[in-house]
Amino acid sequence: MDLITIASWISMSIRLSIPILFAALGGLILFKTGVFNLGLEAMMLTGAFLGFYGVLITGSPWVGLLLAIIGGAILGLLLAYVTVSLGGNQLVIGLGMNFFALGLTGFFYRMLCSTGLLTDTTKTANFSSIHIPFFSKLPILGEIFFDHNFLTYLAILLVIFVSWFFYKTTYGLSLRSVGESPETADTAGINVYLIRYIAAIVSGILAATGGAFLTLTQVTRFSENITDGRGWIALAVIIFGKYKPWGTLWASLIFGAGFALVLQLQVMGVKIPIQIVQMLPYILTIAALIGVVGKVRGPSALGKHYVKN
Amino acid sequence: MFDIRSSIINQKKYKVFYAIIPFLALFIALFIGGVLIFFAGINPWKAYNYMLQSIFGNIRLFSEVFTHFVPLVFCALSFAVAYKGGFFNVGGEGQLYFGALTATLAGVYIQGLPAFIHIPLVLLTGFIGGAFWCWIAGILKIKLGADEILNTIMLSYLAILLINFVVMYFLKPANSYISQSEKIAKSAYFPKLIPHTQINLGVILSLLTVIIIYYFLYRSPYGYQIRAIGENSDAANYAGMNILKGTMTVIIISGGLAGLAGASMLMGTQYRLTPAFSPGYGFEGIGAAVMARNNPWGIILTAFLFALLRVGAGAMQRGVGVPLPISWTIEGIIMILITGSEYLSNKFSTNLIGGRA
Amino acid sequence: MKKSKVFLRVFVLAFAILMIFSTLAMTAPLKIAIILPHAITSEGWTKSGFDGLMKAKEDFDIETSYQENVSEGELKGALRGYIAEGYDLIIVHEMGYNDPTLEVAEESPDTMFAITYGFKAADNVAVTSGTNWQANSLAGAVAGLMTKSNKVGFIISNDSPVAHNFLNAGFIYGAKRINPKAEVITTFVGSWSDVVKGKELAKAMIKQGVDVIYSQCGVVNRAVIEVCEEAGIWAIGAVEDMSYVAPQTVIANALAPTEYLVYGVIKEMVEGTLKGGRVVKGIKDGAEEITFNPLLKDKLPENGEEKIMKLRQEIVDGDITLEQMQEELNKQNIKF
Repeated sequence: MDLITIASWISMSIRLSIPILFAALGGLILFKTGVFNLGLEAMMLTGAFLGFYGVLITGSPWVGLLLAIIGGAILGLLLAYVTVSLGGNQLVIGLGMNFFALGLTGFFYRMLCSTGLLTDTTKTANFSSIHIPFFSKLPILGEIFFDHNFLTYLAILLVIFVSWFFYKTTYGLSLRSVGESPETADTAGINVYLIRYIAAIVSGILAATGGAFLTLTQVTRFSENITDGRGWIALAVIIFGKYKPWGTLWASLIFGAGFALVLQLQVMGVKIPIQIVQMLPYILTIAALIGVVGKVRGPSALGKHYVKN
Repeated sequence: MFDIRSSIINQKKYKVFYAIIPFLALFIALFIGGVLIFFAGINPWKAYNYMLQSIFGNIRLFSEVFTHFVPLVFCALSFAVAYKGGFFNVGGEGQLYFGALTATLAGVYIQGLPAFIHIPLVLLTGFIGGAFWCWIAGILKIKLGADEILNTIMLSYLAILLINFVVMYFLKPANSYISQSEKIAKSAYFPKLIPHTQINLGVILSLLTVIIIYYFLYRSPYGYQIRAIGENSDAANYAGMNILKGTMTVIIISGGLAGLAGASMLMGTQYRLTPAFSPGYGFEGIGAAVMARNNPWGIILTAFLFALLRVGAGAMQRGVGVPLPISWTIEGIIMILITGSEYLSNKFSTNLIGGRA
Repeated sequence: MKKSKVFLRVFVLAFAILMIFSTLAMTAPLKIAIILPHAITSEGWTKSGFDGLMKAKEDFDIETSYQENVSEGELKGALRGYIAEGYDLIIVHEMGYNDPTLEVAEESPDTMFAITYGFKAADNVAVTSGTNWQANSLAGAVAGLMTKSNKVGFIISNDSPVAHNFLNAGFIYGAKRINPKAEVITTFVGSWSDVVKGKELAKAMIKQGVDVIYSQCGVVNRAVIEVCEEAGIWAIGAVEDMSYVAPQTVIANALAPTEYLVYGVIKEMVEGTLKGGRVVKGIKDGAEEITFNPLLKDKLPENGEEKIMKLRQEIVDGDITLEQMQEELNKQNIKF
């Protein structure tokens, strides 16, 4: 590989990993409070659809992003209500939400967004790359670091913010203590339910933003099931990143690089069965689960329903 | 009979309420689905009416329900058994695929056996395949502490890709342009109970399995141990039970059941392995199990219902052009409502039995 | 009233009723259904087949129905559903569903079946197939003609034997035939719906110096053409005329409208001439074609159109066959 190919590969890796990073960060926040979020795929899909629809009707990607955020928040709220207040199974609600979102986005897409059967597109109105003056003109480095859209930089900033929030603020401490031991947190006067609700809503917002990233920056259209399993990959990213914000960033970059490599190698004429390469993220995750990358420990109360006494 | 709690405290009212909730959820979901159908410009009453008429008006079409029913029962039982033993097996889909793979090998490459030997043999290999894939998840959990919810999901996706690869590069006959395995031997086909329908040996086997699983879980001392481990492994350990062995047994049975789902699809309807072999029975089975509150008898009902919805979705589309996404939405709403309603039933039982939810 | 008069009246009445019923039975429209592997909103292959049904519905007095997103596991159920509902012709729009369809067709010999792009037929199963290579090889030829960097790209949805032996072989042959120096980069998206990956593939190709891209991947096609438009390189439309997506970018269209095959089968059914058996339709029959974007004709190199048309004529005359193509590529040691 020459330098230009490498630059193109890394740049592609970043583009492919950012939606996953958004969803994974969202998932991580909720995981840290001790609640599973298996509805990431549903939230992403909803975000992708609403983002697209917002642009389609108003022509402004900001409206699209706003709609996506609202949709994600609603799904987050639903997840919180069913799991936190009603004590429903955290696993099954996620699966149910995935069916629900797949059906509903497909339905509204057909009803609202296609003339005949051809998709309407939003060719001109989306978040384009910010060409940072001078830096984006740098050879190689310019393409890799300084030629992305604002959501990409926002995602990186979010990683820094979440990491600071988790480990340097009292709120972050409260949040983590809820995930480790809700009983103790409750005794210490922390409102377990409230924290889990907020985390779920934030989780929904972030995952939906990740979905909206697909339709607002990468492609100018929606297609049914456009997320194509990215929500599950986000789940894998959380574990591979050892339940840490920075880990999530590295993990999503590694996975993104893997996906990009599949595409890049094909373009370079290397012939390998595509299925083999597609398996890599799952193999990596299982490797992480069994401790190849060091001990991975999730929050102790993960998946357990907490009943306030 | 419905749950360990109710078998201890036999409250009749409580049981009735417990049983009503799933139907209530179904009703609400169908109602919301009806609203969507209305927005699609179709008369919902006509759509549902057509669905019922077309399913129950023709024995051949009705028998299609069993095409889905059999694998759904196996998948739901797979989840339920694991759940009762305290193991969350979300990877039924992958185990189904792996079971189908091993069953295909036994069905295609072992020829010339009489049916009464070949059928059990293929079923057995299917069981072993599914059990093996679940056993990996179990080992990862028990020996290496990898969370089973996550590793069964990952193994599931891995299995689907693996089967896609194996079919395309190894099982495909050299002269074929289509990515699929060869047909299994005729001797491994499930005999049909009613000619020209989908009611075959698989239906009996799945019902038989329900009975076996019920007696195993609720009537055998070993089943009692397993449920005890699932309820509270510390207490079970304290009582001197072998947790490791119990959990491993559950894992093997659970995976094997999902493998049987794959084998039964292979022998009952599909006869050959293809890359997109299962239309998501593994995940839907979880829904059916949860809706039945992991009770084997209830699973017969819920698996039937989910199968009915599947055939009904097809019928509504064929007959009156109801878009397919609506059916997915209905299914999703049912699962969400059922999950949410755990609270209601818990609260109700709390009121009745006083305190313990 | 005389007895004979009553008898006559009853007779006339009965005759009239009989006539009405028999004419009703005769004019009862044919019931025709199509089973599609993907959502009807997925463009290209699936949508084109669906369009064929819709077009036939306008032209003929038929009753139609469709079922979409039918996976391999649900196929037999869908087929049996249509049989039970008394459909006269059931079209299966996916070559991979060939064998299961044959099995169901055996169960009900009175129903007619059709498989588009299939390989095996039976007495009541008509297989109507495009060649899978003629339009593709002409697309390759156009790509070879237009490239300046001698690198052309081909994007396919899923890895499959057909993709290698027909689509890719045809494309490479066409490109090499017109431009022996042309290098073909073939890639698989691994899905029909992942627009994002399709677009990234196109971008990566362009980085590698590819300056003509041909995409055969449903909903991905239009996105790829948009990438080409942004990058200012040529694109070739697939299945349908896609010049409208980017009139200044789509240089040519490799038409292989599945619509044509579906419509043709229905027409034969309505006319009562549909028989079991396999028919392969190519350029000669009007099932496939290469067309140039009229807006961009002046951009073609000198004698460019003639070169392509000469190859087209050779294909029409049967001077080039699939086997010859594959053999030639093997001889040159080119993998496809």
